[in-house]
Order: sequence, then structure tokens, then C-alpha cells
Amino acid sequence: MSAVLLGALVCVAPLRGAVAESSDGKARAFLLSLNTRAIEQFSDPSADPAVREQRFRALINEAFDLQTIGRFVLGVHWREGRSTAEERAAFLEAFEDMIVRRFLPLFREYVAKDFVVGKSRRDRRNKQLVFVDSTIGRQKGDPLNLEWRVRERDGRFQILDVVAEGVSLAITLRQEYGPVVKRVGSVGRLVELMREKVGKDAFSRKLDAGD
Amino acid sequence: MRLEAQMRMNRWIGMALLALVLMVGGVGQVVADSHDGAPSGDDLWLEVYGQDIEEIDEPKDPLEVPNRLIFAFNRALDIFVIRPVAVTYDFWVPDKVRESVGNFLRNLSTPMILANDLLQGEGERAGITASRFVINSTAGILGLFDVAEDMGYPRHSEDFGQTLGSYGMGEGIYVVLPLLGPSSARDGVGKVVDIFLDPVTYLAPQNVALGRTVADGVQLRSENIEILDELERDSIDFYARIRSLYRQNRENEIRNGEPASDLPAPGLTSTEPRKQLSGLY
Repeated sequence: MSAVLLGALVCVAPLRGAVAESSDGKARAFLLSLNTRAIEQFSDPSADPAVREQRFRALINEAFDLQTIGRFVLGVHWREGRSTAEERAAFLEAFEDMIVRRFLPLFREYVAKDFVVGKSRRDRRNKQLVFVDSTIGRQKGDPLNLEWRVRERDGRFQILDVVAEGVSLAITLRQEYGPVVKRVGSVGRLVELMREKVGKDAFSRKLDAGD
Repeated sequence: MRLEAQMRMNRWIGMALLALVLMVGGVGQVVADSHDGAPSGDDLWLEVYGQDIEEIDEPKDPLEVPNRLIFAFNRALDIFVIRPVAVTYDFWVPDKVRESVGNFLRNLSTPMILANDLLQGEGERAGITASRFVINSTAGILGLFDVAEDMGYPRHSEDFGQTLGSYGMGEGIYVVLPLLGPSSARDGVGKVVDIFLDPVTYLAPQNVALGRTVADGVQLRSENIEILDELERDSIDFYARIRSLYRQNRENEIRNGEPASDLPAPGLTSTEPRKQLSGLY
């Protein structure tokens, strides 16, 4: 009798574990497939730079929840009264530009083939959040530790933040742009500054260098 | 002997600074606690950050005005002096030689790292550090070669600022030091204490210690030329960016890379002591 109960327990336990594991396994799979797709895009030598940027932009929009990240970065200035709807829309557009141009060159620096996905864990309070560890190989120096903050919603995954060696992209930008808006007076002015930066080819300098 | 008198005076200065910083750090802690904890302004924290919430909504920077001035000064110094030296060093000196120089300098800091490992009660890490020192100083020929790393003893860095942080001391106010760059009230004093923990201070004449500090600086700068260039290139407020990076990086260093996931309630800072000293090993 006790053997049967024990047997039943043994059967149930791994099943529960498997349920938890498979959700986090999906998050890891999501990241790995993104990496594969990014590599494919980059190793296609035929497309011209403009087309490549379009494709990359589409990939970024799909992979990252830019709306949420943008709102998080703008923080308190997102509210009614602190910024107009036009300013917010303009910000999100400039923000997307910045992220696309920022990440594009980085992919050339890092050897995307050396992308290894590690452990994942769920946030205790917000069950939709999964944190996935990874390392990415570098041409010079030790591999970089990256932690991806991914949100699962209706079975779909999107990245909310990337944390490199403890430094979070979202928090860094939030802590940089917040004081800037205070200083220059409006979100509109911040957007102008962002556009200047993007326009100056601040990020895309590596776009045309090399393959 | 003059040296003894000098050292005694240094000790008193160090202790006075320590007392000052403990007071400032204490005030900083009180200010942090009196904030109601919930980040102001928006409700995206839970959505984006879950419970990994830290007191980082509005970085406190009461010394912002003088900090920005010193930051600008440091940048000018960097543009005109330090970076060119580092670039020249980078250009002319072969990779392997620079690697050896880096290894040698890092090996010299190992006793200080060991002391901090022990002060934090990190028995295992202390063992690794001790092994590294012995192996690299002998088989690695006075530290020129990091043989220990390949043998399975990876390096890690520690300093007294991190030790204080592990005891639960808040960082206090953000300070940009001339030449040395971003720091905090706590970490600034940490640097002073580390001078005392470092045997090179006692064993070598003052010029040697100074020369070594300059070499440290140039080596470090040459290792980071591209990444700092990039950070500066796309930032709108470089000062604010560096401040944010510095603080996040320090937090990460103090936790030794462990996630801050054991906070029982939102709004608590991660300044709870990581361990009880009684659990030494």
C-alpha cells in the first residue's frame, strides 16, 4: 500500500517540476531562436544596408517590447501633464531608432555563435517575468555575462531588459534621461537631442564597416 | 623614525576619514529609509522589474554641482593626457607584453584582495586568492603569467569598499574624485583603507608605489579605450550615465554577481548584510 503511494508521489513530483521547467525552457528557447535568426540575417551578404536595417528593425520590434521599455525609461515624465501625446509618440520613435542603431553594431563585435543560454528563474512577485542567464563570447577578453529579463504573456515572449554584468540597459537609460528632461525642460527637447545623436551617425558608424 | 611617524599620521587620517564616512553613510541610510520605498511616478516597476526593486528611482546626488565640475576636469585630463598615453601604450606595446604587465600589477594587489575576502568571511574565495598569489608568484614568474587562472583558480576583485558594502553599509553620497573618478563616500574611504592593507605601501619606497599607481591607471585605461569611447559617443548626459553605471556596477560587485532576489518586500534596498560574520566558513 505504502509502496503504491510512494510510487504515485514519485510520478507526480517530476510532473510538477516538468511544468515549471517547460515554461522557463520556452523562455530559453525563445532567446536561442532569436539568436539564430539574427545570425542568419547577418550572414546574408546580398541585401543592401537599408534593407538589412529594415529587417533588423522588424526583428527588434518583435523581440523587444519597446513600448513598455520606452515608458519605463521615461518614467515619471510619461504622465499626462508632463508630456504631450505627440511628444510621447516622438520619443518612442526616437527610442526605437536608438535601440536599432545601438544593437546593430554590437552584433558585429560579439561573436553571436558563442551565445550560450544558461539558467533561468521566475520573479517571485510577477509570475510573468523570467530571468535568463547567458554568456556571449567576445573577440577580446572574457565572455560577457548577460541576463535577459523576458516577459511571457499569452504564450508570447518579449524582452524587457538586458543586464550586462549587473548593469541594466533600461535602468541606465532611465537614470540618464530622467535628469536630462528635468534639465532641458521637456520630453520634446529630449527627443531633439536623441535625434541629433542618431543623426550624427553616433551609432551606425559600424554599419557600413566590414561585410 | 620618520617613516613610523608618517605611518602613524596616515593611520589617524584614515581613521578620521572612516569616522566621517560612517556618519555620512549613516545619514545616507536614514534618508534612504525615510523614502516611502515605492518608486515614485509610475507603476511599471512591478511589470518590468518584478521584485528586484532597489532604491534607484531618483539617484541621490547632493554633490552634483561640484561633481560635474570635477567630472569635466577629469574628462579634460583624460582627453589631453591619459587617453593619449594609453593609446600610445596600446599601439606600441605588443598584446602579450601588455597582458604580462596587467598580470604583474594584478598579482601585486592580491594580498589586499585576500584581506578583503577574509574580512567578508568568504573562505572559499580567500582560498582561491591565496592559491593564485602563490602559484602566480612562483610558477607564473613574479606574477607575469596568470598560470593560476588556467589551473582553475579564476581571479576576482575585492576592495574595502565592497567589504563595507557587504556589512550592510550604504554607499552614502556619490562623489567624483579628481583623477580617480566616480566613487562614493563609502568607497572613497575604502580606497584609503586598501592602501593600508597593501604590503607594497610598507615594503617599497614612496616613488615606487606612485609609479605603480600610474602604471595601474594607464593599464586600466588601455584595456578600456573602446568601451569608454562607445559609452561616451551615444550618451546625452555622460555624467549621469557614468553615475548610473558606476552605482549599478558597484552593487553587482558587492553581491559578487548574485541576484538580489531575496527581498521580502518592495522598496527595501539591497543593503542588508549579506552574511553574518559568525558563519565564517
